[in-house]
Amino acid sequence: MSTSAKTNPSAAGRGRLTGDLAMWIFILAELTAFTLFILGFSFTQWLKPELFAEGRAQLDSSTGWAMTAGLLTSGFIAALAVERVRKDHARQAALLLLAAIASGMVYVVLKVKEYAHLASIGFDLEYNTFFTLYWITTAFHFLHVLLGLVVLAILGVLCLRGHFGAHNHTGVESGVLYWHMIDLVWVIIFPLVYLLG
Amino acid sequence: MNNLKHEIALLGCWIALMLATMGTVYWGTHATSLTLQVMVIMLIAVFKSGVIIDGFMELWSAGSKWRLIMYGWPVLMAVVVGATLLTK
Repeated sequence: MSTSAKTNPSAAGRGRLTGDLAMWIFILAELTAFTLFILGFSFTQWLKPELFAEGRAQLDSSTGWAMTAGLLTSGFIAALAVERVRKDHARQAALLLLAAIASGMVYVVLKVKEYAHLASIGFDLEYNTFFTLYWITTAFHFLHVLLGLVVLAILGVLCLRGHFGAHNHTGVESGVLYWHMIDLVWVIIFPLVYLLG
Repeated sequence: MNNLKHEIALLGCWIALMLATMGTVYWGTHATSLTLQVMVIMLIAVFKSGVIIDGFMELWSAGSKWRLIMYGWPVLMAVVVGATLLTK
């Protein structure tokens, strides 16, 4: 049984939640998990600021910017896909979800290249405290991105099969909400890991 | 028409996020002091979070309790990250 809001939120009054209530509860649980990683990184940085400054100097902030741009663009395109479903244009939504996946893949490719580069020069999980926390925090987020891409792909297939439409869009809203949560977390992780300090 | 307006609003959110991200990288590499860097970048992070929460996640249409909870997360993270960088 759905726990969703019943109407199109873009046309709805106040007090309406987009997507399914269960997805919002899941998002809060995920944010709690990410909080632990962010707190762990922050407090360890507080204890060892020089070590973290040295570690951060090994990272390329322009790569971080490109990864952020890929994720945020993907979130924008996925939000457009939800709008197309609400207009009953499920095939257009499927194409937009494909574009969102392509944009999200920019992040994946850049992150894999960064991981490979750091591992090749010895900055692996065990190199020092900064890189231990860098790998754990960003890999946890990376796994969420991979899962989010799978969710977007499933939503795209379901759109093509006519599963979603103007009167049935809660599923696609909920899946895309998960993708936006991944963006939201990255907005904090990116400056924390790549820039600050 | 409402949908078209909403899509234009989404485009505005995306442009704001891209510009804010450029600002984040600029202040991350050009700030003259740690205090200024941390405060500006964390303010930008909270702004970007707000754009995602209200724009992409559409919480503008939800009740104030949900918005408070969701806005509370980036604000709390920004305060904690800022405090750990500036209090030693």
